[in-house]
Amino acid sequence: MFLYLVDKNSPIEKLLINTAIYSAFIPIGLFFFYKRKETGLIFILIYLISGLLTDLLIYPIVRHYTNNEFITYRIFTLLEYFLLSYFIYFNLKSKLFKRFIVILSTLFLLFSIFDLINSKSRSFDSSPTGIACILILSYSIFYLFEKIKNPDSLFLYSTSNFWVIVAFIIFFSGNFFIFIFTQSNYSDPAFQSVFTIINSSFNILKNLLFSIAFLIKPDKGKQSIQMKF
Amino acid sequence: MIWLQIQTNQFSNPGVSTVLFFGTLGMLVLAIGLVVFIVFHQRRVIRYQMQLQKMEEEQQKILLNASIRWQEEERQRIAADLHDDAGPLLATARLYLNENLFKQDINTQLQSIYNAKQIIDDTIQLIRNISHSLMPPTLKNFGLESAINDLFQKISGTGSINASCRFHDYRQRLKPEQELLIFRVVQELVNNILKHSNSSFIHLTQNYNEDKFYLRLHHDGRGITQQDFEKMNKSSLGLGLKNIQSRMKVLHGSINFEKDLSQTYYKVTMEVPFEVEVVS
Repeated sequence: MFLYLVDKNSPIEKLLINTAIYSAFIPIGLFFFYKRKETGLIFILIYLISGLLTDLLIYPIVRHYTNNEFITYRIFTLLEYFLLSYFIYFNLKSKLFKRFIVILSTLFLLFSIFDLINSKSRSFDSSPTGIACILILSYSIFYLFEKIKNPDSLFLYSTSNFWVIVAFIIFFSGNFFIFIFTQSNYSDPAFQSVFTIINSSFNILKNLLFSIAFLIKPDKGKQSIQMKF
Repeated sequence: MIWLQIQTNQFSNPGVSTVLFFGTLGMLVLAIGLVVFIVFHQRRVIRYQMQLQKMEEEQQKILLNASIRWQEEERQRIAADLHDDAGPLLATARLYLNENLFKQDINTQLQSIYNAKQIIDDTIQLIRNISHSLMPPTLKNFGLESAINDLFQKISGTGSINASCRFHDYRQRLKPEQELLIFRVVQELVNNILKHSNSSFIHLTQNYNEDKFYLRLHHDGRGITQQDFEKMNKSSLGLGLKNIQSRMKVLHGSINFEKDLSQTYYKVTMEVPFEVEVVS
Protein backbone atom coordinates (compact mmCIF):
# COMPACT_ATOMS: atom_id res chain seq x y z
CA MET A 1 0.00 0.00 0.00
CA PHE A 2 1.12 3.52 -0.68
CA LEU A 3 1.63 6.56 1.38
CA TYR A 4 -0.84 8.67 -0.45
CA LEU A 5 1.31 11.66 -1.18
CA VAL A 6 0.48 12.40 -4.79
CA ASP A 7 -0.23 16.03 -4.05
CA LYS A 8 3.21 16.56 -2.55
CA ASN A 9 5.20 14.53 -5.08
CA SER A 10 7.06 15.54 -8.23
CA PRO A 11 5.52 14.60 -11.62
CA ILE A 12 7.80 11.57 -12.04
CA GLU A 13 6.80 10.30 -8.60
CA LYS A 14 3.14 10.86 -9.38
CA LEU A 15 3.60 8.87 -12.56
CA LEU A 16 5.28 6.06 -10.61
CA ILE A 17 2.53 5.96 -8.00
CA ASN A 18 -0.21 5.88 -10.62
CA THR A 19 1.61 3.24 -12.66
CA ALA A 20 2.03 1.14 -9.51
CA ILE A 21 -1.66 1.45 -8.62
CA TYR A 22 -3.06 0.86 -12.09
CA SER A 23 -0.57 -1.89 -13.01
CA ALA A 24 -2.63 -4.12 -10.71
CA PHE A 25 -5.24 -4.19 -13.47
CA ILE A 26 -2.85 -6.23 -15.68
CA PRO A 27 -2.79 -9.37 -13.48
CA ILE A 28 -6.49 -8.94 -12.62
CA GLY A 29 -7.34 -8.74 -16.32
CA LEU A 30 -5.16 -11.73 -17.15
CA PHE A 31 -6.76 -13.75 -14.37
CA PHE A 32 -10.20 -13.27 -15.87
CA PHE A 33 -9.00 -13.49 -19.48
CA TYR A 34 -7.39 -16.91 -18.91
CA LYS A 35 -10.27 -17.99 -16.63
CA ARG A 36 -7.96 -19.14 -13.85
CA LYS A 37 -9.80 -21.25 -11.30
CA GLU A 38 -6.98 -22.44 -9.03
CA THR A 39 -7.90 -21.84 -5.40
CA GLY A 40 -4.43 -20.54 -4.53
CA LEU A 41 -4.49 -17.91 -7.26
CA ILE A 42 -7.93 -16.70 -6.18
CA PHE A 43 -6.28 -15.47 -2.95
CA ILE A 44 -3.82 -13.48 -5.03
CA LEU A 45 -6.72 -12.01 -7.00
CA ILE A 46 -8.49 -11.02 -3.76
CA TYR A 47 -5.21 -9.48 -2.56
CA LEU A 48 -4.84 -7.46 -5.77
CA ILE A 49 -8.46 -6.27 -5.74
CA SER A 50 -8.32 -5.34 -2.05
CA GLY A 51 -5.05 -3.43 -2.63
CA LEU A 52 -6.62 -1.60 -5.55
CA LEU A 53 -9.77 -0.74 -3.58
CA THR A 54 -7.71 0.45 -0.62
CA ASP A 55 -5.52 2.67 -2.78
CA LEU A 56 -8.29 4.11 -4.93
CA LEU A 57 -11.26 4.23 -2.55
CA ILE A 58 -10.91 3.34 1.09
CA TYR A 59 -7.68 5.20 1.90
CA PRO A 60 -8.71 8.54 0.27
CA ILE A 61 -12.17 8.37 1.89
CA VAL A 62 -10.80 7.56 5.36
CA ARG A 63 -8.13 10.24 5.02
CA HIS A 64 -10.64 12.82 3.85
CA TYR A 65 -13.29 12.26 6.48
CA THR A 66 -11.47 11.01 9.58
CA ASN A 67 -7.79 11.81 9.18
CA ASN A 68 -7.15 8.43 10.87
CA GLU A 69 -5.51 6.73 7.90
CA PHE A 70 -3.20 4.75 10.19
CA ILE A 71 -6.08 2.31 10.80
CA THR A 72 -6.20 1.59 7.05
CA TYR A 73 -2.51 0.64 7.09
CA ARG A 74 -3.04 -1.76 9.95
CA ILE A 75 -6.12 -3.41 8.44
CA PHE A 76 -4.41 -3.73 5.07
CA THR A 77 -1.25 -5.21 6.68
CA LEU A 78 -3.38 -7.88 8.37
CA LEU A 79 -5.38 -8.57 5.22
CA GLU A 80 -2.23 -8.75 3.09
CA TYR A 81 -0.47 -11.03 5.57
CA PHE A 82 -3.36 -13.46 5.95
CA LEU A 83 -4.15 -13.67 2.23
CA LEU A 84 -0.54 -14.24 1.22
CA SER A 85 0.25 -16.63 4.05
CA TYR A 86 -2.91 -18.59 3.27
CA PHE A 87 -1.77 -18.84 -0.36
CA ILE A 88 1.51 -20.40 0.83
CA TYR A 89 -0.27 -22.51 3.47
CA PHE A 90 -2.62 -23.82 0.77
CA ASN A 91 0.26 -24.80 -1.52
CA LEU A 92 2.52 -26.39 1.11
CA LYS A 93 2.48 -30.14 1.62
CA SER A 94 4.49 -30.48 4.80
CA LYS A 95 2.21 -30.65 7.82
CA LEU A 96 5.02 -29.37 10.02
CA PHE A 97 5.43 -26.20 7.95
CA LYS A 98 1.65 -25.73 7.93
CA ARG A 99 1.55 -26.00 11.70
CA PHE A 100 4.37 -23.44 11.90
CA ILE A 101 2.36 -21.04 9.75
CA VAL A 102 -0.73 -21.42 11.93
CA ILE A 103 1.25 -20.82 15.14
CA LEU A 104 3.19 -17.86 13.75
CA SER A 105 0.05 -16.32 12.25
CA THR A 106 -1.73 -16.51 15.61
CA LEU A 107 1.25 -14.86 17.29
CA PHE A 108 1.35 -12.23 14.56
CA LEU A 109 -2.35 -11.45 15.00
CA LEU A 110 -1.88 -11.10 18.77
CA PHE A 111 1.13 -8.85 18.25
CA SER A 112 -0.77 -6.66 15.75
CA ILE A 113 -3.63 -6.18 18.22
CA PHE A 114 -1.14 -5.47 21.01
CA ASP A 115 0.68 -2.95 18.80
CA LEU A 116 -2.58 -1.25 17.82
CA ILE A 117 -3.58 -0.81 21.46
CA ASN A 118 -0.18 0.23 22.76
CA SER A 119 1.33 2.19 19.91
CA LYS A 120 1.37 5.93 20.52
CA SER A 121 2.29 6.65 16.93
CA ARG A 122 -0.63 7.55 14.68
CA SER A 123 1.24 6.76 11.48
CA PHE A 124 2.47 3.81 9.48
CA ASP A 125 2.57 0.44 11.35
CA SER A 126 6.25 -0.34 10.81
CA SER A 127 6.52 -3.11 13.41
CA PRO A 128 3.62 -5.32 12.22
CA THR A 129 4.54 -4.67 8.56
CA GLY A 130 8.20 -5.52 9.21
CA ILE A 131 7.22 -8.73 10.98
CA ALA A 132 4.74 -9.57 8.21
CA CYS A 133 7.58 -9.08 5.69
CA ILE A 134 9.90 -11.45 7.58
CA LEU A 135 7.16 -14.05 8.01
CA ILE A 136 6.07 -14.00 4.35
CA LEU A 137 9.72 -14.20 3.27
CA SER A 138 10.27 -17.16 5.60
CA TYR A 139 7.16 -18.97 4.33
CA SER A 140 8.27 -18.34 0.74
CA ILE A 141 11.66 -19.87 1.52
CA PHE A 142 9.86 -22.82 3.19
CA TYR A 143 7.82 -23.23 0.03
CA LEU A 144 10.86 -23.17 -2.28
CA PHE A 145 12.75 -25.52 0.03
CA GLU A 146 9.86 -27.97 -0.12
CA LYS A 147 9.71 -27.71 -3.90
CA ILE A 148 13.40 -28.43 -4.42
CA LYS A 149 13.18 -31.31 -1.98
CA ASN A 150 10.08 -32.90 -3.51
CA PRO A 151 9.62 -31.51 -7.00
CA ASP A 152 6.25 -32.33 -8.56
CA SER A 153 6.91 -30.43 -11.74
CA LEU A 154 9.73 -30.93 -14.24
CA PHE A 155 10.51 -27.21 -14.31
CA LEU A 156 9.80 -25.23 -11.18
CA TYR A 157 9.60 -21.98 -13.14
CA SER A 158 6.88 -23.36 -15.40
CA THR A 159 4.36 -23.15 -12.56
CA SER A 160 2.26 -20.12 -11.59
CA ASN A 161 2.98 -20.60 -7.90
CA PHE A 162 6.72 -20.18 -8.44
CA TRP A 163 6.25 -16.72 -9.99
CA VAL A 164 3.85 -15.70 -7.24
CA ILE A 165 6.45 -16.72 -4.65
CA VAL A 166 9.20 -14.86 -6.58
CA ALA A 167 6.93 -11.78 -6.52
CA PHE A 168 6.53 -12.11 -2.72
CA ILE A 169 10.27 -12.53 -2.20
CA ILE A 170 11.29 -9.59 -4.36
CA PHE A 171 8.53 -7.29 -3.13
CA PHE A 172 8.99 -7.94 0.57
CA SER A 173 12.79 -8.05 0.54
CA GLY A 174 12.92 -4.81 -1.47
CA ASN A 175 10.44 -3.03 0.79
CA PHE A 176 11.58 -4.45 4.12
CA PHE A 177 13.92 -1.64 5.17
CA ILE A 178 11.69 1.11 3.84
CA PHE A 179 8.75 -0.30 5.83
CA ILE A 180 10.88 -0.48 8.97
CA PHE A 181 11.91 3.17 8.73
CA THR A 182 8.55 4.61 7.69
CA GLN A 183 7.05 5.04 11.17
CA SER A 184 9.97 7.12 12.47
CA ASN A 185 10.36 9.15 9.26
CA TYR A 186 6.72 9.47 8.33
CA SER A 187 6.68 13.25 8.11
CA ASP A 188 10.13 13.64 6.52
CA PRO A 189 9.53 14.85 2.92
CA ALA A 190 12.84 13.41 1.69
CA PHE A 191 11.93 10.02 3.10
CA GLN A 192 8.42 10.22 1.64
CA SER A 193 9.92 10.78 -1.77
CA VAL A 194 12.26 7.78 -1.45
CA PHE A 195 9.42 5.69 -0.08
CA THR A 196 7.28 6.55 -3.08
CA ILE A 197 9.97 5.61 -5.56
CA ILE A 198 11.05 2.34 -3.91
CA ASN A 199 7.58 1.16 -2.96
CA SER A 200 6.07 2.04 -6.33
CA SER A 201 8.90 0.36 -8.26
CA PHE A 202 8.56 -2.88 -6.32
CA ASN A 203 4.78 -2.76 -6.63
CA ILE A 204 5.06 -2.50 -10.41
CA LEU A 205 7.54 -5.40 -10.41
CA LYS A 206 5.25 -7.46 -8.17
CA ASN A 207 2.26 -6.86 -10.46
CA LEU A 208 4.33 -7.86 -13.49
CA LEU A 209 5.44 -11.06 -11.77
CA PHE A 210 1.80 -11.83 -10.84
CA SER A 211 0.93 -11.25 -14.49
CA ILE A 212 3.54 -13.85 -15.53
CA ALA A 213 2.04 -16.22 -12.96
CA PHE A 214 -1.44 -15.77 -14.41
CA LEU A 215 -0.12 -16.19 -17.96
CA ILE A 216 1.31 -19.64 -17.26
CA LYS A 217 -1.18 -22.33 -18.06
CA PRO A 218 -1.81 -24.90 -15.31
CA ASP A 219 0.34 -28.03 -15.50
CA LYS A 220 -1.93 -30.99 -16.24
CA GLY A 221 0.65 -33.54 -15.16
CA LYS A 222 2.27 -33.76 -18.59
CA GLN A 223 5.60 -32.71 -17.19
CA SER A 224 5.43 -34.48 -13.90
CA ILE A 225 8.45 -36.47 -12.87
CA GLN A 226 8.85 -39.46 -10.66
CA MET A 227 11.75 -39.44 -8.31
CA LYS A 228 13.68 -42.68 -8.54
CA PHE A 229 16.07 -42.98 -5.69
CA MET B 1 17.60 6.92 -10.13
CA ILE B 2 16.13 5.82 -6.82
CA TRP B 3 19.52 6.01 -5.15
CA LEU B 4 20.35 9.36 -6.66
CA GLN B 5 17.22 10.62 -5.01
CA ILE B 6 18.35 9.27 -1.63
CA GLN B 7 21.69 11.03 -1.86
CA THR B 8 20.41 14.39 -3.02
CA ASN B 9 17.48 14.55 -0.60
CA GLN B 10 18.40 15.67 2.90
CA PHE B 11 17.02 13.18 5.40
CA SER B 12 16.26 14.53 8.86
CA ASN B 13 18.17 11.50 10.18
CA PRO B 14 21.28 11.15 7.92
CA GLY B 15 22.09 7.57 9.03
CA VAL B 16 18.79 6.35 7.61
CA SER B 17 19.79 6.89 3.98
CA THR B 18 22.88 4.65 4.29
CA VAL B 19 21.00 1.87 6.09
CA LEU B 20 18.16 2.14 3.61
CA PHE B 21 20.51 2.00 0.62
CA PHE B 22 22.62 -0.92 1.75
CA GLY B 23 19.74 -2.69 3.48
CA THR B 24 17.42 -2.64 0.49
CA LEU B 25 20.21 -3.45 -1.92
CA GLY B 26 21.43 -6.32 0.28
CA MET B 27 17.96 -7.77 0.71
CA LEU B 28 17.33 -7.55 -3.01
CA VAL B 29 20.63 -9.22 -3.88
CA LEU B 30 19.90 -11.98 -1.37
CA ALA B 31 16.39 -12.48 -2.71
CA ILE B 32 17.47 -12.63 -6.35
CA GLY B 33 20.42 -14.84 -5.39
CA LEU B 34 18.06 -17.22 -3.62
CA VAL B 35 15.70 -17.46 -6.58
CA VAL B 36 18.61 -17.98 -9.02
CA PHE B 37 20.08 -20.65 -6.73
CA ILE B 38 16.73 -22.47 -6.54
CA VAL B 39 16.31 -22.41 -10.32
CA PHE B 40 19.86 -23.65 -10.98
CA HIS B 41 19.62 -26.27 -8.27
CA GLN B 42 16.41 -27.58 -9.76
CA ARG B 43 18.00 -27.72 -13.21
CA ARG B 44 20.85 -29.74 -11.75
CA VAL B 45 18.39 -32.12 -10.08
CA ILE B 46 16.53 -32.52 -13.37
CA ARG B 47 19.79 -33.23 -15.22
CA TYR B 48 20.69 -35.82 -12.58
CA GLN B 49 17.23 -37.39 -12.85
CA MET B 50 17.53 -37.60 -16.61
CA GLN B 51 20.96 -39.19 -16.37
CA LEU B 52 19.58 -41.70 -13.90
CA GLN B 53 16.65 -42.45 -16.18
CA LYS B 54 18.99 -42.87 -19.16
CA MET B 55 21.20 -45.25 -17.21
CA GLU B 56 18.18 -47.25 -16.15
CA GLU B 57 16.96 -47.42 -19.75
CA GLU B 58 20.39 -48.64 -20.87
CA GLN B 59 20.38 -51.26 -18.13
CA GLN B 60 16.91 -52.38 -19.22
CA LYS B 61 18.16 -52.61 -22.79
CA ILE B 62 21.11 -54.77 -21.74
CA LEU B 63 18.80 -57.05 -19.75
CA LEU B 64 16.36 -57.31 -22.63
CA ASN B 65 19.18 -58.16 -25.04
CA ALA B 66 20.47 -60.77 -22.61
CA SER B 67 17.02 -62.25 -22.27
CA ILE B 68 16.60 -62.44 -26.07
CA ARG B 69 20.06 -63.96 -26.46
CA TRP B 70 19.32 -66.50 -23.75
CA GLN B 71 16.05 -67.45 -25.45
CA GLU B 72 17.85 -67.86 -28.77
CA GLU B 73 20.56 -69.99 -27.18
CA GLU B 74 17.92 -72.15 -25.49
CA ARG B 75 16.12 -72.59 -28.81
CA GLN B 76 19.39 -73.48 -30.54
CA ARG B 77 20.15 -76.00 -27.81
CA ILE B 78 16.72 -77.64 -28.16
CA ALA B 79 17.03 -77.57 -31.95
CA ALA B 80 20.50 -79.16 -31.71
CA ASP B 81 19.23 -81.85 -29.28
CA LEU B 82 16.33 -82.68 -31.59
CA HIS B 83 18.41 -82.53 -34.77
CA ASP B 84 21.54 -84.30 -33.54
CA ASP B 85 20.03 -86.85 -31.15
CA ALA B 86 16.34 -87.45 -31.84
CA GLY B 87 16.71 -87.09 -35.64
CA PRO B 88 19.40 -89.79 -36.15
CA LEU B 89 17.69 -92.10 -33.66
CA LEU B 90 14.38 -91.92 -35.49
CA ALA B 91 16.15 -92.27 -38.85
CA THR B 92 17.85 -95.44 -37.59
CA ALA B 93 14.53 -96.80 -36.34
CA ARG B 94 13.07 -96.08 -39.78
CA LEU B 95 15.91 -98.06 -41.41
CA TYR B 96 15.05 -101.09 -39.26
CA LEU B 97 11.43 -100.79 -40.26
CA ASN B 98 11.94 -100.37 -44.02
CA GLU B 99 9.82 -101.97 -46.78
CA ASN B 100 12.29 -104.89 -47.23
CA LEU B 101 11.54 -106.11 -43.72
CA PHE B 102 8.67 -108.36 -44.84
CA LYS B 103 10.99 -110.15 -47.33
CA GLN B 104 13.29 -111.28 -44.52
CA ASP B 105 12.98 -114.32 -42.31
CA ILE B 106 10.96 -114.12 -39.09
CA ASN B 107 13.98 -114.04 -36.74
CA THR B 108 15.56 -111.11 -38.59
CA GLN B 109 12.17 -109.38 -38.63
CA LEU B 110 11.78 -109.83 -34.85
CA GLN B 111 15.34 -108.61 -34.26
CA SER B 112 14.74 -105.54 -36.40
CA ILE B 113 11.46 -104.75 -34.60
CA TYR B 114 13.20 -105.22 -31.25
CA ASN B 115 16.05 -102.87 -32.27
CA ALA B 116 13.58 -100.27 -33.57
CA LYS B 117 11.63 -100.49 -30.29
CA GLN B 118 14.84 -99.93 -28.33
CA ILE B 119 15.70 -96.89 -30.41
CA ILE B 120 12.16 -95.50 -30.06
CA ASP B 121 12.42 -95.98 -26.24
CA ASP B 122 15.73 -94.09 -26.27
CA THR B 123 14.11 -91.32 -28.30
CA ILE B 124 11.21 -91.12 -25.84
CA GLN B 125 13.72 -90.83 -23.01
CA LEU B 126 15.64 -88.15 -24.89
CA ILE B 127 12.48 -86.12 -25.52
CA ARG B 128 11.50 -86.51 -21.87
CA ASN B 129 14.91 -85.17 -20.84
CA ILE B 130 14.50 -82.17 -23.13
CA SER B 131 11.01 -81.59 -21.72
CA HIS B 132 12.29 -81.89 -18.13
CA SER B 133 15.05 -79.40 -18.79
CA LEU B 134 12.38 -76.94 -19.96
CA MET B 135 10.06 -77.52 -17.02
CA PRO B 136 11.15 -79.87 -14.22
CA PRO B 137 8.18 -82.12 -13.32
CA THR B 138 9.22 -82.20 -9.65
CA LEU B 139 8.90 -78.44 -9.48
CA LYS B 140 5.48 -78.51 -11.07
CA ASN B 141 4.12 -81.36 -8.98
CA PHE B 142 5.90 -81.06 -5.62
CA GLY B 143 7.18 -77.52 -5.41
CA LEU B 144 10.41 -75.61 -5.06
CA GLU B 145 11.73 -77.48 -2.02
CA SER B 146 11.51 -80.87 -3.74
CA ALA B 147 12.87 -79.53 -7.03
CA ILE B 148 15.91 -77.97 -5.36
CA ASN B 149 16.44 -81.11 -3.23
CA ASP B 150 16.28 -83.17 -6.39
CA LEU B 151 18.76 -80.90 -8.16
CA PHE B 152 21.21 -80.99 -5.25
CA GLN B 153 20.93 -84.78 -4.92
CA LYS B 154 21.75 -85.17 -8.60
CA ILE B 155 24.77 -82.88 -8.21
CA SER B 156 25.93 -84.71 -5.11
CA GLY B 157 25.37 -88.00 -6.92
CA THR B 158 28.09 -87.16 -9.42
CA GLY B 159 30.62 -87.31 -6.55
CA SER B 160 32.54 -84.27 -7.76
CA ILE B 161 31.07 -81.85 -5.23
CA ASN B 162 29.19 -82.03 -1.97
CA ALA B 163 25.81 -80.32 -2.46
CA SER B 164 23.27 -80.00 0.33
CA CYS B 165 20.19 -77.91 1.01
CA ARG B 166 17.93 -77.21 3.95
CA PHE B 167 14.52 -75.53 3.90
CA HIS B 168 13.75 -74.20 7.37
CA ASP B 169 10.21 -73.01 6.81
CA TYR B 170 8.39 -73.68 3.57
CA ARG B 171 4.94 -74.76 4.72
CA GLN B 172 3.25 -72.32 2.40
CA ARG B 173 4.27 -72.56 -1.22
CA LEU B 174 5.05 -69.51 -3.31
CA LYS B 175 3.14 -68.85 -6.52
CA PRO B 176 4.13 -71.37 -9.26
CA GLU B 177 5.56 -68.65 -11.50
CA GLN B 178 7.66 -67.35 -8.58
CA GLU B 179 8.87 -70.87 -7.81
CA LEU B 180 9.92 -71.39 -11.42
CA LEU B 181 11.82 -68.10 -11.54
CA ILE B 182 13.58 -68.82 -8.23
CA PHE B 183 14.44 -72.33 -9.38
CA ARG B 184 15.95 -70.95 -12.60
CA VAL B 185 18.03 -68.47 -10.62
CA VAL B 186 19.25 -71.27 -8.31
CA GLN B 187 20.03 -73.45 -11.36
CA GLU B 188 22.03 -70.63 -12.92
CA LEU B 189 23.91 -69.91 -9.69
CA VAL B 190 24.70 -73.57 -9.13
CA ASN B 191 25.76 -73.92 -12.74
CA ASN B 192 28.12 -70.97 -12.35
CA ILE B 193 29.56 -72.39 -9.13
CA LEU B 194 30.14 -75.76 -10.82
CA LYS B 195 31.71 -74.16 -13.88
CA HIS B 196 33.86 -71.41 -12.38
CA SER B 197 34.32 -71.69 -8.63
CA ASN B 198 36.23 -74.94 -8.18
CA SER B 199 34.60 -75.28 -4.77
CA SER B 200 34.31 -78.43 -2.68
CA PHE B 201 30.78 -77.86 -1.42
CA ILE B 202 27.58 -75.91 -2.05
CA HIS B 203 25.09 -75.42 0.72
CA LEU B 204 21.68 -73.82 0.31
CA THR B 205 19.44 -72.63 3.14
CA GLN B 206 15.93 -71.22 3.02
CA ASN B 207 14.04 -69.10 5.47
CA TYR B 208 11.34 -66.47 5.59
CA ASN B 209 10.79 -63.44 7.71
CA GLU B 210 8.16 -60.69 7.63
CA ASP B 211 6.64 -61.50 4.24
CA LYS B 212 10.06 -62.01 2.68
CA PHE B 213 11.37 -65.28 1.32
CA TYR B 214 15.13 -65.80 1.68
CA LEU B 215 17.49 -68.23 -0.03
CA ARG B 216 21.20 -68.30 0.68
CA LEU B 217 23.88 -70.23 -1.16
CA HIS B 218 27.32 -70.83 0.37
CA HIS B 219 30.36 -72.22 -1.36
CA ASP B 220 34.09 -72.28 -0.66
CA GLY B 221 35.43 -71.71 -4.15
CA ARG B 222 36.15 -68.63 -6.25
CA GLY B 223 33.18 -66.31 -6.22
CA ILE B 224 32.06 -62.82 -7.04
CA THR B 225 31.03 -59.84 -4.92
CA GLN B 226 28.15 -57.43 -5.51
CA GLN B 227 30.55 -54.99 -7.15
CA ASP B 228 31.66 -57.65 -9.66
CA PHE B 229 28.04 -58.61 -10.28
CA GLU B 230 27.01 -55.03 -11.04
CA LYS B 231 30.09 -54.50 -13.21
CA MET B 232 29.38 -57.64 -15.24
CA ASN B 233 25.73 -56.68 -15.56
CA LYS B 234 26.71 -53.46 -17.26
CA SER B 235 29.18 -55.13 -19.63
CA SER B 236 28.39 -57.35 -22.58
CA LEU B 237 29.76 -60.36 -20.64
CA GLY B 238 27.91 -62.57 -18.18
CA LEU B 239 24.71 -63.59 -19.97
CA GLY B 240 23.71 -65.88 -17.09
CA LEU B 241 24.13 -63.10 -14.53
CA LYS B 242 21.98 -60.78 -16.61
CA ASN B 243 19.30 -63.44 -16.69
CA ILE B 244 19.50 -63.67 -12.91
CA GLN B 245 19.12 -59.91 -12.70
CA SER B 246 16.12 -59.79 -15.04
CA ARG B 247 14.44 -62.67 -13.19
CA MET B 248 14.98 -60.92 -9.86
CA LYS B 249 13.41 -57.82 -11.36
CA VAL B 250 10.34 -59.82 -12.39
CA LEU B 251 10.20 -61.21 -8.85
CA HIS B 252 10.53 -57.68 -7.38
CA GLY B 253 13.30 -59.16 -5.28
CA SER B 254 16.97 -58.50 -4.71
CA ILE B 255 20.15 -60.52 -4.88
CA ASN B 256 23.36 -59.88 -3.03
CA PHE B 257 26.75 -61.42 -3.69
CA GLU B 258 29.28 -61.15 -0.88
CA LYS B 259 32.31 -62.72 0.72
CA ASP B 260 31.79 -64.14 4.19
CA LEU B 261 33.27 -62.20 7.11
CA SER B 262 35.67 -65.08 7.69
CA GLN B 263 36.88 -64.54 4.07
CA THR B 264 36.56 -68.29 3.52
CA TYR B 265 33.21 -68.55 1.83
CA TYR B 266 31.25 -66.73 -0.78
CA LYS B 267 27.55 -66.33 -0.24
CA VAL B 268 24.67 -65.30 -2.44
CA THR B 269 21.47 -64.12 -0.77
CA MET B 270 18.16 -63.81 -2.56
CA GLU B 271 15.28 -61.86 -1.05
CA VAL B 272 11.85 -62.18 -2.61
CA PRO B 273 8.51 -60.74 -1.41
CA PHE B 274 6.34 -63.63 -0.25
CA GLU B 275 3.30 -64.18 -2.47
CA VAL B 276 1.38 -67.23 -1.39
CA GLU B 277 -0.23 -69.49 -3.96
CA VAL B 278 -4.02 -69.12 -3.88
CA VAL B 279 -5.65 -72.54 -3.91
CA SER B 280 -9.01 -72.35 -5.68
